[in-house]
Amino acid sequence: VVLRTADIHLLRAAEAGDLIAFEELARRYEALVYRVALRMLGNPAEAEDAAQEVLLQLWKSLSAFRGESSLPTWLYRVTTNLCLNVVRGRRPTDSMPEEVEAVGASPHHAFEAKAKLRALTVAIGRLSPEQRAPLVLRELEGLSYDEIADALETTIPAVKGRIHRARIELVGAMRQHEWA
Amino acid sequence: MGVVDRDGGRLACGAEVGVLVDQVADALPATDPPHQASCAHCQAALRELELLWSDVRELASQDVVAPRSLVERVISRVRGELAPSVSELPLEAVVPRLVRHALFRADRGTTRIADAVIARLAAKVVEQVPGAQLLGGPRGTNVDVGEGAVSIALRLAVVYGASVPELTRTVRSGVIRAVEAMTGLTVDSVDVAVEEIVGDL
Repeated sequence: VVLRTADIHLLRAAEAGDLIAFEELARRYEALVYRVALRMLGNPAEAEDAAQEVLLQLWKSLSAFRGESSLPTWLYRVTTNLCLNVVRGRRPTDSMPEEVEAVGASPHHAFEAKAKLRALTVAIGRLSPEQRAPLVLRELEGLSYDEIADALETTIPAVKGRIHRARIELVGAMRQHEWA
Repeated sequence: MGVVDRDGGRLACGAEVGVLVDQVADALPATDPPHQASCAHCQAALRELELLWSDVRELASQDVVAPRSLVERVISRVRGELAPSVSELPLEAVVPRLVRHALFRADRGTTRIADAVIARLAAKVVEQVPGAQLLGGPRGTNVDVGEGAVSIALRLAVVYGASVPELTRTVRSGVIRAVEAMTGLTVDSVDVAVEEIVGDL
């Protein structure tokens, strides 16, 4: 038995001014929005600001939902667009993620595993924003090519091409880390 | 040295590394199965790529928790935007009280139970407990329909001389029994507030 008020009921209630319904929606999707923002921006403070803007956008766009577009799809689109604007607005020097410190000294397995994931996160942060957005949606969020094309307002071949190049970049970066 | 070139490139057998990367990442079938099955270069590259890509899968499976302040900040900004328009009007006039429903999905339709129904049930239970009276009626009872369950908060007056722990225990277990038996909902909690005492003091 699934017991969960459907998004559409909460959306309707929120649109009519029910703040509790809106809060429930915000709580339901805060993790999705924050996670994508964090992967796109690489920085918790900026990610929180971006996520806050997205959820406010949701409040202002409640009347736009008539059931034809699913809420997660809309949130993916708005979050990636907003983050792309943030990234593009940065000065060139801001966009370099911090270096990962050398990890060879530690024999501790968990630490090395963690360092590997940090190196991967940094490598994702070094991708161009145009490659990073579809890669994050595909590999970390598990969206289909179709859904990604929809979120990024582009075509499926364009998405496939950007993800393909992003993956090759990442494999190169991960191998460099392995062999460092 | 590993088998995968930094630029994507080709393996010694001529296979494109980029194609193998997509094969691993999207879990696709090989484009040239007979070649791949018998080619040592392809096999070695696939093994290495699987290993590298397992890091990506691990990162994807990591739980990212949004900061606690996020939704609170959003709600307070939303309230701030609402404030000017609601200041002169009673809240009910601006924000209609909406019926909330507990929702069950079945194969061929849904069942919805309005929160007022649950509140009435709770009121009925309290009526049958000697020494306890419901304050505010079913409307004074707060029913929170959440994911998979319902929480109920009610306000009571107790008769002088009654044992409050015993009364609240009876009310709580009675409400849980009645609501769960009649609606099939799980009752998460029944919060009881004793707010009045009645009878000869």
